[in-house]
Amino acid sequence: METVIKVENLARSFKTKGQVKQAVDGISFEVKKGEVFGLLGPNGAGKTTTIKMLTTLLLPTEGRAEIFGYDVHLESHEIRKLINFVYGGERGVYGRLTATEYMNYFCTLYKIPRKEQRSMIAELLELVGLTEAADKKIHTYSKGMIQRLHISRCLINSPKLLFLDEPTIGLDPVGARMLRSLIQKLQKDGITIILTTHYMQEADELCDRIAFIKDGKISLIGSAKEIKRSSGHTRMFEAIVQMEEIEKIEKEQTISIHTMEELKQLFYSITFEVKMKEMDIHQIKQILSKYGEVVHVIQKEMSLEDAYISHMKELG
Amino acid sequence: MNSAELLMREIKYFTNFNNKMYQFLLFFQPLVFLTITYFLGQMREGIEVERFIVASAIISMWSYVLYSSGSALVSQKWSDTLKMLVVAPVSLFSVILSKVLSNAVIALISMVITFIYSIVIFRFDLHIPNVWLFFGSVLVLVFSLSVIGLMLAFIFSAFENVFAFQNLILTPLIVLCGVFLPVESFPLFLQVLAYCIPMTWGVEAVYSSLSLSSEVYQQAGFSLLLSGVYLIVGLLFYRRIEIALRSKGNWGVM
Repeated sequence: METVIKVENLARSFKTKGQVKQAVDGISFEVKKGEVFGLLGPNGAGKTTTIKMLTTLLLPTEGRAEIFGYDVHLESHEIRKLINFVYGGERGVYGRLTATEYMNYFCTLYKIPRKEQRSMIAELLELVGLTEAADKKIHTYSKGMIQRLHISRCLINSPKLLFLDEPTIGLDPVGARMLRSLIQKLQKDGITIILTTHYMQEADELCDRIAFIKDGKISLIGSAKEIKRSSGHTRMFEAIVQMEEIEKIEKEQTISIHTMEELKQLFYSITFEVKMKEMDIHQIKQILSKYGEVVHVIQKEMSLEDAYISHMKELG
Repeated sequence: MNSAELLMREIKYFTNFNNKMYQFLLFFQPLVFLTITYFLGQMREGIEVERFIVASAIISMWSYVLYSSGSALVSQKWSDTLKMLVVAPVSLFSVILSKVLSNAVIALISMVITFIYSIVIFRFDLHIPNVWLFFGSVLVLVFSLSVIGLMLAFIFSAFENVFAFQNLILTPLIVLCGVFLPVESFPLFLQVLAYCIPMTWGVEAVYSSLSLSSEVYQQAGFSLLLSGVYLIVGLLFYRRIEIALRSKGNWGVM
């Protein structure tokens, strides 16, 4: 299969107040045509910096990256014809314009022949469900509508490669669902997609392959299934415990808590991994009962989120 | 064709008469300068009313073109739309050029507004001996203002600390280019500096057109020539600055 992105030892550092910060530190990966490739990592891990280099907005300080065989440093103009991007959030629009005017302006910037513009805009706005709001001012749009408008804008040049940087950030579940369906549709149309997100379930659902990135370095790369399998040594449990002092359980040495959520007053849902392999569910119950009344404990199937948290904890 | 479409859309979509700053520059500032001219006329006999009215009109145009063009890129950076313009196939240079030309069109309207005020409100006897010659020289001046506006747009975008001092840069330029006082009355080194700026020749051409002086063509020619040189320098400067900004990460991408 055709390689769309080839990244070799790509690095980027920034100098701020006399200090050098290594935002991306020698990463390498390849993305094939038609793949949805996820870049996952904590805030400040280097995801957005990587995307900015690949979208030709930022020059690498070391290493190289090729998009469709074009060098991001030397052949940015060729690359820009083939790609487009969406950065999450409500900015990046002209609030005083209507969606139609906004799309018209970008059609001109992308040199779309005038006679094709009207039908193209109608088609793209319909694709993202904005036909009804096409003539409303963008400043009246909700976050979800702005995100969908960004998606329609980024399809103006029929890109072969799309960069979506946290596209569902701040969206309500219905809006996020709609956007995910759209991403799946774009993938079916043969568009290669690079996705960054903090929502692991979303990455699990959409991505063919995923790279975990932390402190500018890629530490794990593979399909969601492979990543979960690589954390196979980890045994995940889910428990509901009635307790008064949650701080104490957080200090328990035999388990490592991933998430803790208060269901109702004094009742907590906890997901955790067990550090000792030989420990059975009875022993786990005994440990938990030191901190409160255990309502139930079950062994949990490893999710991408569990694998992610476990992996990030391993990295320290 | 695409450039014309870009310019039309720029004028249609991004001319914002609701902006208080532009409302001041376009509609209120000419009133202030014309009021000063009116009272000067009341206090002193024999002042060249046309020259003062034209000076008022030039200042309005000047402010509009240089302030709005200078901030064209910075404002895109603030609204986080700059990176989308940077990666579009139409060069950023063309995008900014369209913004600057759009501002130039509005600036011409500001001149017309000044003339309307002077006739309707202040009842000045405005006499322009050769309207076409005057209009031609005004276009030359607007072109030179646009070219400088274009350069300022890139400079202000690259060095935002410079943008903070825009008033300190733009206001002395009005004096230096001979809008109020003839450049010949300045010290020699200031004269040399002034004649390196295309607007100086443009301003002289506009004033010469009022007196039907034969120098108008030569002055307009120098202004166009210098503007052309600045435009080429601007283009070269833009290419270098694009690389520098991509290298520094300053395209509003940090």
